Order: sequence, then structure tokens, then C-alpha cells
Amino acid sequence: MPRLPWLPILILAGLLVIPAILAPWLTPHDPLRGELLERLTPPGWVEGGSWTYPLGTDGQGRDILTRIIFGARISLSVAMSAIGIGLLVGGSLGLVGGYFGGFIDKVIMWMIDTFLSLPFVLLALVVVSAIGPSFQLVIVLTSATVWAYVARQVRGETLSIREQDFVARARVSGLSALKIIRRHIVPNTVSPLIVVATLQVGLVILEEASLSFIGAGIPPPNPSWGVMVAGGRDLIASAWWVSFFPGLAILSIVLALNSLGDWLRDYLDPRTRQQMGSPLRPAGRTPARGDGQAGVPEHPSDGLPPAVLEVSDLRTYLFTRAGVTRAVDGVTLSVRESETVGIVGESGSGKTMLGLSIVRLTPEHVSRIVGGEIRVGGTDVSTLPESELRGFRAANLSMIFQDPEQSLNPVFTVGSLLNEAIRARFPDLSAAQVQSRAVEALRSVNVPDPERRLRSFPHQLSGGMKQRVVSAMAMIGQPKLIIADEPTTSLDATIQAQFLHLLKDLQARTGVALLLITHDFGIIAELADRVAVMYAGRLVEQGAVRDIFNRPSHPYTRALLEARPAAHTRTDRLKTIEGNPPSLIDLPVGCRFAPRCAYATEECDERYPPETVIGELHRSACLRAEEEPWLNRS
Amino acid sequence: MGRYVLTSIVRGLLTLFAVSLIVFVLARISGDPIAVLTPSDMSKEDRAAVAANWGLDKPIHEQYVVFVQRALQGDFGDSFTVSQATATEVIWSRFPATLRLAGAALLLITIAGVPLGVLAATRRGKWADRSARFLALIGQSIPEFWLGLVAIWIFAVRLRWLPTSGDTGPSSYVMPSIVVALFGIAAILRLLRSGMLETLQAEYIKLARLQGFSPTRIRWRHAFKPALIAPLTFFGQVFVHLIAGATVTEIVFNWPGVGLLAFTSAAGRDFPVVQAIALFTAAIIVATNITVDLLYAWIDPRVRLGGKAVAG
Repeated sequence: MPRLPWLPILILAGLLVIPAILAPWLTPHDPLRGELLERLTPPGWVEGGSWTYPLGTDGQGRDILTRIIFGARISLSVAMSAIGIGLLVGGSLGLVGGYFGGFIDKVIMWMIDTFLSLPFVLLALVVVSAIGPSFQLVIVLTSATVWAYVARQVRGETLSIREQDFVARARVSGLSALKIIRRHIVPNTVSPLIVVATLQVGLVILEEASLSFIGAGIPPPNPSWGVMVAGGRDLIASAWWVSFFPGLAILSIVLALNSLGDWLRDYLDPRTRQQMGSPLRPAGRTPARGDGQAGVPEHPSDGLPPAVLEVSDLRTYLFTRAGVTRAVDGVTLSVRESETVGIVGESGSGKTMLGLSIVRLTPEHVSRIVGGEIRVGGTDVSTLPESELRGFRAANLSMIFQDPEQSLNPVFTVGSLLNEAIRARFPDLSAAQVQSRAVEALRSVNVPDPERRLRSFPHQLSGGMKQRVVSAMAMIGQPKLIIADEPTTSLDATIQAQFLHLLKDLQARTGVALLLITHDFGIIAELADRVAVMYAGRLVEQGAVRDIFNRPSHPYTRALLEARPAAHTRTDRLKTIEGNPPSLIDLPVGCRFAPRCAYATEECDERYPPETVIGELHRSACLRAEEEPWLNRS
Repeated sequence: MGRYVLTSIVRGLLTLFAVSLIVFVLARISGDPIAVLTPSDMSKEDRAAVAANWGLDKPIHEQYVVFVQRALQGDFGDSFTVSQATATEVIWSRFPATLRLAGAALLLITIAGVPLGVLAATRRGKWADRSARFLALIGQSIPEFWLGLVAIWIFAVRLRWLPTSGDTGPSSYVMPSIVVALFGIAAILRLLRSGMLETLQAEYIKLARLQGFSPTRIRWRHAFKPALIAPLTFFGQVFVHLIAGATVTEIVFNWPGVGLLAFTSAAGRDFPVVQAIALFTAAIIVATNITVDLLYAWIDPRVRLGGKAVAG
């Protein structure tokens, strides 16, 4: 757990909560009546000051510290009332809008936007000039923005929860709307609301002080901090302490609330929880150890095309608050010209990190290649300085990602994206030449009516079309290697087949090497020459596709193949293997699959299995690979 | 696109309707509208004239119609405190000073907030990011009126570098514009930082890097433009805070603008002027929000073009 923000908590307790509760017992002075003879006494440590009045007295001889202490009561009670009203009103409206949607939701959204754009300071002055200031008025005015912030948050949460399966099931099973909201939705809005409420307390205290300062808030002589600052306004040249200390109290408390709110946001948000804690800075590269795993044997000069990519003992670790995640933990792999190599594994096996490592695009702040080599055409990418890396990548490497929505910048047209990519590589081309190259690029990936598509924005294209545009961009630099990370997962089944065909076609035309990352053996069967199976950061088996399908020699590969859906139906995940992959933070010493393996022996838990040669190019990291106990079963 | 603009305008008009209703009801909620709408030292005959003028003898909904008709013509009645002047004339005389201050503050917000936000995102976790975020935290937590007073105490009273108050030449802009801008700088910085952090994670940025574009190009062309979308939606709220902050700041620095006018008028119970200011300001806010909506459409083609995806 991250460190608690002690300073803000102490400030809030010491300056707000404790004074508000214990005010009359903390000070001997009266907050409202002062000694006129003692007026404008400086603070205790200043010349002429007296420690009877540690922070001095104001223009009416009242003790400033006493008034600050009693002011905490006003600030806290205004804040609590406004937050209470805001949560109640905003919470209900947000739930109703988010849950029922439609016209009601539109009206509520409009009300939220309207309230947040009203000039409340000026409206407060309108009210004051009509009916005068009052405590109630402050609460009404401050809660008027709180509810809107709360409603916006709750509406958003409700909207996303409503779409989830368990709510749909509850609705189908005939649970009433009220019950669904109470049982499923309200509990899920609590943690974001804690953040909003904390930040709003700060805002309300600030608003109350501002209103009081301009005479539209708490009526004097009540010791509101804003009133106190206003009282010292004309004395700033002669008695600075009258305004200074109450303002300092406001600043400290709002600062404390805002930093507490930020901390809570990070703490309660599951996404930011994974981020790096500062003490875990990755150390320098550790020397690589080549312990046993299913690596590819050295290619002798066997007449085959040269290797475009040679990864050896690659280790990419993520440094998170929870610990060091060994996402890629000693991978050796190679891909030849015109060859397609598949990487198969469950989600969380590290296959995406492997792909990103090869192009050196792993998340900068949390990850680091700690060992191994990545040779592309003989150059070690893993040690290339950033300045050379840029040009090298542009000339040799490309990538296609899973989500075409995320792959094209939404604010540029297809034409401007393509033109930019072409100009970056061929700066001498004329505008017309660039244009014709762009058209050609789209035509090469079978985009119909390319001249018109150049003027389209990404959102005007379908997913399959977008993925084609991405491939067109990937091919512009005539790369030697393309890494395709689940390129068809988010496409419809019919489009999937078309796109795979396109990839094959591009490869046949250009000889580009393809590293295909997927969870789907169907795609491997269709496209790949060789396949490597990844589990918990390592390759557990690799070989020619035919060999792997015919004679899987690792129990994990077998399980994956058995979990494969019979027909070409689309699946998102392979769910049928018992148990879960191990945490990449706390990995077992021995075989990482052993806890889920039906054939595991004691020895499997003791040491990581060395690689066993099964056949030409076929390797397995299983102790019992030669014994093949799975053949005798059933 | 046409529908989008229309929605934006209709929403703006509804907002103005809401504000006018609030102001209208406030004048009548206190029991005796005539006491609110006229100065206390007015003669009985004059009072009757004002009452007839505003249709106070008619049913309440007709009164509202009269109110709106007059408001549309810029007629909010005569000021109680400034003799021989209508509320509208009083406001117009103060408006330029407020505009000059707001202009200076907007300039500061743009030249400080935008680069700092981008810097913080691209230098994430580093020294520059930490400092920028600390500045943003202070900017969101500090009470403007107090900051103004402390600044006056230090720079005008103690050091005598800058004038204490009023609009007396370039040096008098320094303190008020910084005080007004601070919250906006903090807000833009935070929003732009988180927007940039999000777009910098996007796959299209990874692909742009693979294309070999320079880091500057990626930062300002590929990441910055889509990152602007989120802050823009909040710009309306930042602007509202600018106006509220300007009111408070004008009071602290005795800046001869509309905010100070609202304050002195409220203190003098000059209702016609205060209500006119509230409605004027609301109209400005609505106009700003419509402009922001149009800007939004210009930056985000998904809004501008709508349009169906092409199959294939």
C-alpha cells in the first residue's frame, strides 16, 4: 500500500476538525467581543506584541487565533451541509439520468452544464442586494455547484455499470430498477464519490470564504475566515496579521483537501495503482543467463533466407508498486525473411510486451529491457541510442495493433497521415508525387475508391477499413519486419479472413517477415510457418506449425489446442484451462505451468525444465517431453 | 453540423432563460418588489411611476414578459447610486477595464498554462512535472482575495515595486492579472497534462514513433491536438471561474471594472445595476460556451462531420 499522506491529514485534523469540535474549550477569549484597548495588537513574536494574543488582535480588539478556531466551525458546517445536499440531490439525479437515459438524462445533463456555467458570485451579489446576506444563502449557493459535479460523476459511473453483464442479468431476472440501483449500482459509485466529495469540501470552503469576503456570505460579525480577511483589507499596510492568518488557514486546509483528494484518486483507481513506485527504479542491465528454455537453434547456412529478427534471452521487466513484473523473462526467437512466426498465449503471458520490446516501445516510465539482445538485420536494437533508434525503426520495423480505433489519430485525415509518413521517408517528392504514392498505398491494401478515402477522417471508416489503412501506413517504409499484435481480434469474422488474406498477399509481394501475436490457433494454422507458445514470460514450446498441431510436446500447448473452439467461431479468451496463469511478480522456481499441469511431478517444482529437442526446429521446455505421458491417457 | 450548432445555441438560450428567471424571482421574492426596485429615498409618486413602468400591478407572468422585453432592449431601470444614468450606461462605462484585465489574464493562461501542461506530460515524474503539478495544486487551493492582499502587502507596501490599486498604467496590471490567471493556469495545466498523458499512451502515437517522426513533431502535432479536446470541454468552466475570480480580484485591487461595480452596487443595494451585471455576464458566458462548442467541432472531426462509417 502506498504511503498515507500524513501531512494533509494532520493539517485537516489540527486546523479544521479538532478546532471545530472543541472550539470553546481551546481558547479563553470570546470570538465576538473584543477589548477595544487591545485593538490591533501584533502577534506575540513581533515587537509590541503580546503572547496573550499569539496571532494578534483585529480592529475591534478580538483575538485572531480564537476567531480562526471558531471560524473552523463555520467552514466545516457550511461544507458538510453543502456536501450533504449535493450528494443527495446530485446522487439521485445522476442515478436517474445514468440508469434511465433518454430524455430525462438529456435534461439532467443540460442542468449540470447550466449550473456549472452560472456566475454564482454575481448571482450572490444579486441576492444580497435584494434580501441581504444569510447563512442559508451560503449553503444554497455552494451546494448549487456541488450537486452538479456529483451528478456528473454518478451519471458516468451508472452509465458504464448499467452496460455490464451482471446488471443485464439482474434486469432479465425481473429485479426492479430500484433494487438494481441499490444493490448493483450505488455500491460501485462509492469510491469515485469519496474523491469528488473530498475535492468538493475544499472548493466549498474556498467559495464560502470568497462569498464572505465580498459581503455576500456569512454575515459579520461571525468569525468566518473570509469575513476576517475582509476585515483586515484596509489595514494591510499597518496591521498585516489581521488578514494574513485567516487566509493562511484557508490555504492550508484547501491545499490539504486537494492533495488528499489527489491521493485518494490514485489510491482508489485500479489503473494508476499499477504505476511505478519511485524506490523501484530499475538498475542497470543485468547480465543475461541462458538457462534452459525453448530457444530456436542456431541457423546454420542451410540455404534458407537470412534471419531478419534474432531475439536472444530477452528480458523485459515492469517496475510497479506491487513489485517487479517479469513480463518477458528470457525469450529466444528468430524470424526469417518471408517467414511468418506466430506467438500464442493466454492474455497476460507477456506476448504483447515481447512485441513492444522488439520495437522498443514498452511503457517508458515503468518498463525496461534488463537483458538479452534484439538483432534486426544484425543490429542490436536493444542498445541502440534513441537518436539512432528513430531512423533505424522507420527503415526496418512496423507494427499493427489490435484496436484500429486507437491506431489512427482521430484529428487527421487518412490522406494527411499517409502524406506525412511518405514525406518523412522521401522528402524530395513533389506534392503530386506524394499524393499518387498515397493513392497507390491505399490501392495496395485493397481500399476501394482511394482518392475519396484520402479525404476521410478515421471515424468515417469501418474497423476493417481502418486496419487496412494502418497496414498501408506500415508498408510505406518498406519494412523488413512487421509485428502484428492480435490484428484481427476486434474485427468481424468475415473481415478477419479478408484481412489475413491481405497480410499474406503483402508478404508474398514484398518478402516482409511477420511476427504474429495472437491467442487464436486458427489464425496460426492459416498464416504462420512456425509457432512459439508463450507462458508466463517464456516460450515453452516452438516448432513448425504442422509439428505443433500434430504432436504438441508441452502440456500447456496441448491444453491450448484442446481449448480451441471447433469451428471458426470467434473467441476472446481461452477459458477452459483450469486455474490461472501465475502472477508475473511472484514466479515459481520450477516449471511455471506445473501448478496447473495434470502431469506435473515433484521435480517439475524444483527446477525450470531445460529445453528438449523433439525434432528439427521443434523444442519443448517440459521435463516429461520425451516420456510423453499424455499419449497414454485415455 | 447544423444540428450541432443549433443544439448549442438552444442550450445557451435556455441558460439565459434560467438566469433571467432567477433574477426576476429574486426581485419579487423578498415580499415587496418596489422596495427592491427603487431607492429608499424616492418619492411616493416616483415609486408609483416605477411600479407602473414595470407592470407590477399585473399578474406575475405578464410582469416577466415586461421584464424580458425590457432586458432585451438593455433596459434594466435606472441606477440608484449613480445619478442620471441607466444601469446599462453604468455597466458600459466599466466594461473596458474588465475586458483589459480578462485579456491580460487569458494571455497569461495561454502562454503559461499550455506549455507547462505539455511539459509536465512529456517529462512525467521528472523535476519539471513535479514543479508544474505543485504549482497547479497551489493555484487551485489559494484564495484569490487573500493572494491579492498578500501581494499588495509585499510588493506595494513593503517593497514599493508596484502600485497598490487601480488601473494606472502597465505596472498596475501585473498583480491583478497574475492573481486572476492563477486558477486558470492551474486548471489548464492539469487538464492538458492528463489529456496528453492519455494520448501519449495511444497506439497512434506508438505508430507515429515507428514512422520515425521527431519527438517535437509527435508531441505538438500528434499528441497535442487530440489532447486539446478534453480541456476545451472544461474551458467554459475555467472561463466562469475567470469571471468570478475577476470579480473578487477587482474588489481587492480596486480595479475599476464591472466586478467592483457589482460589489459596490450590492453594498449600496443598487439592485438594477446588480441584476443587469448578472444578466450581462450570463450572456457573455453563453456566447463563450457557443464559441467553445464551435472550436470543439473544429478540432474534433467526429463532432464536425458526424457521418456513418464506410463498410468494408
